[in-house]
Amino acid sequence: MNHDDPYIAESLRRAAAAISLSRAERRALRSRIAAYARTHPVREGESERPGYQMAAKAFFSVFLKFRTMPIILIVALLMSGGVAFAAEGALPGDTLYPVKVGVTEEVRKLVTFSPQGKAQWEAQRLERRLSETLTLAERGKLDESAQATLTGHVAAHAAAVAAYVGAVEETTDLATMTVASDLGAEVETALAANEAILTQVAIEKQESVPEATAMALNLRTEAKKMGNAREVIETRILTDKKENRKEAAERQRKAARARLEEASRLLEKYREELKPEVLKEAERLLAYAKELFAKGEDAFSHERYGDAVLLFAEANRVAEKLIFFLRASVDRHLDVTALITTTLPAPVASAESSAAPPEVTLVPDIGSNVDIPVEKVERARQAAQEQIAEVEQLLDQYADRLSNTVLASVKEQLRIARDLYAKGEVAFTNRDYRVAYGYFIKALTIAQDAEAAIRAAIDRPTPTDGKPAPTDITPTPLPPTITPRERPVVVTPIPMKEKAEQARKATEEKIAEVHRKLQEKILRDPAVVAKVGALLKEAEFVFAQGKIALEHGDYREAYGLFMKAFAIAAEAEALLHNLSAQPVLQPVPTEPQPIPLPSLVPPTILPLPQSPSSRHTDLDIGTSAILNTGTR
Amino acid sequence: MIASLEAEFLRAFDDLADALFRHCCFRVSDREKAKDFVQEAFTRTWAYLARGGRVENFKAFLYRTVHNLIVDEARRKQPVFVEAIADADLLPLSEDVAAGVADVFDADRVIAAMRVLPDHYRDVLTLRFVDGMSPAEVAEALGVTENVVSVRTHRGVRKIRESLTNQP
Repeated sequence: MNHDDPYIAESLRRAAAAISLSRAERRALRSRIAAYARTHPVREGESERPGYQMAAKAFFSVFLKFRTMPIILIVALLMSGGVAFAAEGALPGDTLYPVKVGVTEEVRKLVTFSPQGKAQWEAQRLERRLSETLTLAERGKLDESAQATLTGHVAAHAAAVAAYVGAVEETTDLATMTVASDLGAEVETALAANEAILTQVAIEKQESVPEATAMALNLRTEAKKMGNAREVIETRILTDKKENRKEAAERQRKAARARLEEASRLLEKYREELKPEVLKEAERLLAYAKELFAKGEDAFSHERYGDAVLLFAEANRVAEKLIFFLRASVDRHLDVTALITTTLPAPVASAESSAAPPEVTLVPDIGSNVDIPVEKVERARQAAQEQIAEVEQLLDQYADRLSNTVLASVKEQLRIARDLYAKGEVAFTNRDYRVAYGYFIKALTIAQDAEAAIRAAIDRPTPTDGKPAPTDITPTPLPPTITPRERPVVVTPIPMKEKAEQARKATEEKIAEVHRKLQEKILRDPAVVAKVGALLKEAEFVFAQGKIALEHGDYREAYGLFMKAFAIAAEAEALLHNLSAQPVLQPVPTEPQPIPLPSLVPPTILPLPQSPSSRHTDLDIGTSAILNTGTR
Repeated sequence: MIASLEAEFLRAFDDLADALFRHCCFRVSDREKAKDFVQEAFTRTWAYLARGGRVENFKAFLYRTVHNLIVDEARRKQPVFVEAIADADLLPLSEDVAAGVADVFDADRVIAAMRVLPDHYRDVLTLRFVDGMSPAEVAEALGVTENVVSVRTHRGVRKIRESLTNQP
């Protein structure tokens, strides 16, 4: 009974062969599962362990079922303290370690009631795991199983914090948001600092190198994940109302000040013990943190609250790292000079860019005292208005094809965009053009993001659906006139780089072409020539910014800038052709093939299409930069 | 034999994780979710072992567990994940897999046809061809008779054939 159609069987086999876990994914998964197995020991059956250990294990395994224990008993256990206290110093591999992690720590979580408190405790637990990792690495005892255990715990604690940070997105309470954002940043920094320290330990002690390297890699991944969660919240705060931004900045200032004081105190305390070169570098780093703080104060006093939030947060992070490094230097006798030096800003402009806050980028090229031309504001206003209408229409059209998550997030974006737009209108009526311009641009960007999110969701099968939708086979072609500006955001980094480079090439050619055309015909209205020349300059400027972004590996940003430059050049070209201000519309290349499994990247589209909504992008800034605040 | 049981369990992971992951990818079309299912299947299997359960054949047991998890999930209402947008869109492929995409281009149409098949056909075809199981193994993993497996394989392949010829 052979019904194996060879063609179909072979196709499936080949498709399957292309799918596998990456090594990192596999390792992470294995560690989590191994950790799970370790923390859920088999309770019946024989043991190869010596009798007394077995007895200990059986004894504690009763407590491992603590969830079902009456709280009184738990408290009694804590009060009695003996075992719990003894367990506090345990390391992975010790008999008492499961008690420490599985009982005493869990109990503390039980007696903490607020989600915020629980998340903070999870963050602390994570730091304890990090410290244990370092201790083991130092002693050369970070073997494979210890590393697996710790990786599992680190991932679990980080996930708990990230879940809290992510869930906060749904609140509107500013205090909660700032606490979450801070907590996320704190954990992110702790992970990053410990990654650096762990690497240093591995280098110096030459112990457990492969395990330490693997662990360091895990820490980096976790830090990155945490960074993503935090950025979401940070963006929410930065796009909030002015008075809320002010309040957020005040909170950040307080947190940063406390951290700076802590770092200063620690530096004083350890002054005698530190080697002179470490001390010197540490003082430099502290000075840098203080400088960031001072810049934050300055921004605050000029009511640039968004900048202030970011600067205070950065100062906080730098100080936190310093604290970790100082402790490692004194407690673990590590040479942290290199770690501190790499944390210091590079001598070039990277310090500037790392602290470059969105409100600075918002209106970068216009001196703060220069007024923005009314036409420009008017254009931004119209662009924002059209873009919002576009999103509304798309939402109507495709609401039933979007998953709840996408729908909710798009609606939220739309709400924010409308809100910002309304504020822009008020400012516009009051002839406060600078402010109005800022609001319109932000509204425009957010609405564009919303459009991109909708299109990304309808353009490819939404993987969250779990079930295949028949529509995936023949995707509805997009309306040819509009293309999601931000669509590349959702593509993996590699295609993004290619896209950015394609966009760079296309834009370069377009600019050159307009230059040629400008020179070939001489009979022209001087006003038009002047206008085209100005537009070209603008295009070249944005193009140059794009090249810088490309060099820095910030492909998404570069792509946005190139596209903008392209749009401006296209507008110049259209003007030359006397086509009023309409840019040349190019239809979106549609993809004829059915979309394969979502795990296959759709063929790269040449990123040239122009849309009516991006026609107004001859505004001086990388709008994508506004929301992209986290790329430090 | 606690230590050896754990070692055996982890060996099962080493042997089967990729295959199970592939299987889940075909069943749920979502890389992240597929990973979750794999993890959940292993932790549940361990939980079963820790309670004193016995597993004769890890492969069959794990496939069975994964199958049940996916079916349960499909029955439930779609949960809403806060992070789903970011996760779902960002990484459909790991980088090393992306390199292999060209190889499977021909297979796209078959896979596309596969995705619209009714679940019970797709499940059988996935186990049979993606996981390379014998009809008997498929039967055990799905908890149906071998007869049912061959009928579904036959019809599933026919359905894919039909949709390929209908859509040139």
